Amino acid sequence: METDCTPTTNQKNEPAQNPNYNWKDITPEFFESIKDLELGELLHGYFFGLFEAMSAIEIMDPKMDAGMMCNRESNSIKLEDLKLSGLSVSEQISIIDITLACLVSWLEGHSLAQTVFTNLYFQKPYEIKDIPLKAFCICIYKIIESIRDFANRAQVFEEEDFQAALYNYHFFNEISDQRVIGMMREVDESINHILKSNSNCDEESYLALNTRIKFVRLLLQILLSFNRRESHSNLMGETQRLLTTCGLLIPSLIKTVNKGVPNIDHCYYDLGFDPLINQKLLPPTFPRYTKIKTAAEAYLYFDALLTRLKQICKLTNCVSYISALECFIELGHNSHLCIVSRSIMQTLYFPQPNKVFGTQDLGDCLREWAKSFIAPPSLISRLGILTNYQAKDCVHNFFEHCIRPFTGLIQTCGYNKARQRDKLAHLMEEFSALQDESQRIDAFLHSFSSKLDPPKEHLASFSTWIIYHTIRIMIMYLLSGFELELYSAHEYQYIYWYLYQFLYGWLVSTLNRADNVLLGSNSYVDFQKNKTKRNKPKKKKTHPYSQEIVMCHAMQSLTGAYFKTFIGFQLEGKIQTPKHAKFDNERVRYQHRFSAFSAVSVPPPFTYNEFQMTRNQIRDNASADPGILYLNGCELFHQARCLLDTIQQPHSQQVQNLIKVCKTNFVTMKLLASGYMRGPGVSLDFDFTTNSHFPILKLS
Amino acid sequence: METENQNFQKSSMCSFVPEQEYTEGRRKLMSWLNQQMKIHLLDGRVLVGTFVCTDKDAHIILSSCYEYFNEKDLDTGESRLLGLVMIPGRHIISIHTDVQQTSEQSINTSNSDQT
Repeated sequence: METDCTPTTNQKNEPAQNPNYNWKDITPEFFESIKDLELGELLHGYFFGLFEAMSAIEIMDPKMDAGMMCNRESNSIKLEDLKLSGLSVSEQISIIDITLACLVSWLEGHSLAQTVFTNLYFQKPYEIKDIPLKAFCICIYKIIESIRDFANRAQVFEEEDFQAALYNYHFFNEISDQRVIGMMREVDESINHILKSNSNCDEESYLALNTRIKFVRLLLQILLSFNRRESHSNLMGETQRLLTTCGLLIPSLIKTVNKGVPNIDHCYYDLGFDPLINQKLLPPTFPRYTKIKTAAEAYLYFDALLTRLKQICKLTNCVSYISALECFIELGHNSHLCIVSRSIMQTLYFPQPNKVFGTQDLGDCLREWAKSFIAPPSLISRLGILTNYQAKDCVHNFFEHCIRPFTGLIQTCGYNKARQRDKLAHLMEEFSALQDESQRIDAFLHSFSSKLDPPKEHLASFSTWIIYHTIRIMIMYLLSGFELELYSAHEYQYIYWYLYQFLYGWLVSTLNRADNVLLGSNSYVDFQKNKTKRNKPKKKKTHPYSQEIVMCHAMQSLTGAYFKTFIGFQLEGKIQTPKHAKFDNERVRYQHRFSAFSAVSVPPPFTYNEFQMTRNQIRDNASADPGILYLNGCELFHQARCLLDTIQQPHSQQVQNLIKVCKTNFVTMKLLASGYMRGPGVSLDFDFTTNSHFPILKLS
Repeated sequence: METENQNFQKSSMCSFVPEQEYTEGRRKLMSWLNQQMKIHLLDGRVLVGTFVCTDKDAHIILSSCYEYFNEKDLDTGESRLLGLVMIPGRHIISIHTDVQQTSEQSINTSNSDQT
């Protein structure tokens, strides 16, 4: 570690702090003394007990003691013996491939010390005589720095998905990003020059090296181009061009992995990689065993990353808050997002805190969104309610208070799925507090709007807007349980029941209210010859929320179908409910699943008894015949499908998948209802591959 | 130092065995509690920390423990902070306590006795 990168600073000064010990050997005495203790007795001080003892790291336990590894003989070459010049092209290709694979492993949650920095060349990049490798190393340093910057600014990572620690490695701040890109370009040119001037060189290998250099340079350029303080859709053109160029290199990169050193597993250490070099730097946590990916896998990862980044570019077109939120949710659904894409999404939308795309204040953005959602009279400047300073203050404060929960909602979409669920539960509390406030200021502002000519209704304006978000969050919370595979089959009943009976129903009524208000105010605006600039609902007299309402109705039918079907399955004994366990009966589970909803006052939480009542009623109506319930389910699946069909073309991928789920389940239920595939011999299976929330039912 | 002495006294008080019945071994172990201890392991590592707990099988618990990879590191001070560690007796080669601290402590004790 005696190099320019040595993490010395916090270690060299330690001896000064250390007192000068005067050690005395007490080994025999000690081992003699402990014989006096009883078996199982702990001898300890007053402030130390078994409880504290439990949290100790056990030395020499392979699962807890990371230090155990350090004293093993390392297979790798010594740092002094590292080949700094005259590296063959294939050696350079291999080093680059392995390092990029290390980079990917880092992005998947391992520490830098165990991935990229196991490359010994990173200890002293300045001393490398082979320019391509030198430039590559410095460029990777810059890429790491850039990714860390995104992650640290976005703050959407948890210890399980990203390790930002640098372990005091030195980061070449003296070289600017532009200089690094320039260096990479020079390398690019010089390799081209070699190719032209020297006809008997191994052309393919040089080309492969050249492609790698180009790829890494483009990667850095892409990251830098996302890192603007202000992001506009017209500026994204350059980024998209870079993304496309970079993506085109991937196939040839994968094809040329074999141009590296043959038999890579044997040469791993000779190429200058030492997995144990940083062992001393690791924190005293559990040792993590890092398996580095293969180069081909790593390039596939980069390919997927580039695709994701391309999708993320679309975010800059989302001017309104809700369209951005939908974009965040949609991207979260579609693909498994990595830490880079999750962080970049956040920093793209909020390059600075509370500044949408770095230009618009979030408060203003939310105002716009509330205005277009339900047109509260107080926000329509023509009506002049805000000329009253009290009203103005009140509205201003309300939107100030909105900023935190609404930012939180965007940020929540950036977290990994498991953490998202926790954060959604917290958001419910925050939105519940906003509900109270919104109701109060609605009542207050109503006193102004009712005096207008003609009088305007202000009640349930802001509150409807807040409730809309609350219900959306509740739905997201329940559905996320399917993605995380938290629920067991016998729980599906009440989850779908809650969605069917309450959440989607409320969402529909919320949207209807907003729809009616907008239609009312629109006709008034039309009457005023559309003076105001708001031209949000596209055509006159169309219901602005008709599409969303249809979608909600479809979801309601779909969840209802599942609810009825699952009661049928239960009656038939295909799904078993735990009955006798004291702590794991249906009531306990139910209360646990919906405990987060108790924070929300509107809509109120519903108890287990209510669920039981509904279920019994439905059972009685079907006279406990599963066949009738299957028939009900079958009808509802069909209804859901018909509703989905009426949604505007072209259908998004999500709608297409839902239609497929409805279709398939419709056929299955029809079979079941007509008496086929019944009986104890038929086993039931749920296939969540088409849609992660709504399974395809499989019988076999 | 004084709080440590209090610990020591309290720990002897709260123990179930009456004080006068303490054997020589127990007494010694008690006197080492909360002292700095240096433990050499079979694999060459050296651990330095505050001795807080042990049992019949010489499982030793050290708090605020630093790990040195070998004897040489002990001089250079190149270490890693581990925190609370439990060392199974079978991995221990030797145990040292810091005499200097002990003597300082006894001086302190005698001082406080005088005042």
